[in-house]
Amino acid sequence: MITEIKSTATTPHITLNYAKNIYLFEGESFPEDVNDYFDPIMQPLEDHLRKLQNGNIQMDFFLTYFNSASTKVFFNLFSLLEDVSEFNSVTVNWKYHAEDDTAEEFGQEFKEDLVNVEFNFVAI
Amino acid sequence: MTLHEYSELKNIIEDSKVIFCYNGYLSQGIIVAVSSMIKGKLTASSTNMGVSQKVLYMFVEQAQNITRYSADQLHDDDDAVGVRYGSIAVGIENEKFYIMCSNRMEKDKVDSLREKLEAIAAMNSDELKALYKEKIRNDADDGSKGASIGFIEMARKSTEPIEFSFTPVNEDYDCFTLKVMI
Repeated sequence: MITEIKSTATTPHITLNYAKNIYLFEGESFPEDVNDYFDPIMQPLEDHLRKLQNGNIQMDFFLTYFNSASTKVFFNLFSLLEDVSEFNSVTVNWKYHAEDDTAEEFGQEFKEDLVNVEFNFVAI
Repeated sequence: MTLHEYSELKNIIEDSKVIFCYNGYLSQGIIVAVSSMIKGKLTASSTNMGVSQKVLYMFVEQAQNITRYSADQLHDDDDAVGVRYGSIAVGIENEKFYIMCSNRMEKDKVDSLREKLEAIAAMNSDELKALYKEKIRNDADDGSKGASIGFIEMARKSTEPIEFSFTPVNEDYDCFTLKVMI
C-alpha cells in the first residue's frame, strides 16, 4: 500500500510506501494547526512501524522550511524510529541544499538523539 | 488619519528599510502569501540561503503567534487559530535583518510570558539548547497551541539578544512587542 499526499503551500509532499518501507517527506511545513494535519498521517505510520520486525526502513527527508510546531512532529517521528530500530534496520537520509546551514543544523540536532538509526546527510 | 499623517507614517517605515510591514487582521492565508514574497525578495537580493531560512522562520513564528494568541480576534473563539489583530515588520538595520511583532494580550497572561522570556533572554546557547531539548521531549505548556519551543528557537537563531516589552493599553490588556535579529 502506498499513501501519497501532495504538497500544499504550507505542507510537504509525503509518500508512505508501506510495502517497501520507504518513506518521504519533502517540502515546507507550517500548517495552521500542525496536530490536526499530521495526526491522521502519523498515527497509521506509527501503528505500522510498531508492528514491523526485521524490516529495512528507509526514511528520506528534504525539508526546506518548517515551523517550531512541525519540529516537534518530526522529533516524535525520529523517537519512533529509534524505538523500532530495536527490531528493524532504520536509515534516515537527511537531504538539504548545500548552502542551507539552517536545515543542516536541524538535521544534526535530530541526529544527536539517535543511537541505532543510521543517519546520513546528503547535501544537494 | 490625515493624508499628511499617512505620508509621515510611510516615511518612517521607508526610512527603517522595511521589506514588509503590516498592521491589522492577520490570517494564515496572508502569512503564506507574505512568506512567499519575503523568500522571493531575499533570493533576488542574493541573501545567503541559511540566513534567508532563518528570516523566514522568525517571520512565520511571529506571525503564527499573532494568529494563535493575539487577544484581538475577528471571531470569538479563544481556542481557534484564526484571524487576529497584530503588527509585524521585517527590515534591515546595520546590515542585519530585524523581525518584530506586536499584539495585545490579556493582562493576566503577561506575567508568565514575561518570566518565560526573561529566562530565555538570560540563557547562553548551551542553556537554550538544553531547554529546547527538554521542551521538545515533553508535552507542550498549558495554553500552548504549538510545541512551546517557538520563543526558544527564535532566541537560539537570533544573532542578538531578543528584545521584548509589555506596554499597558488599558485595564484589561497590555501590548506585547518582540524583536529579533538575523
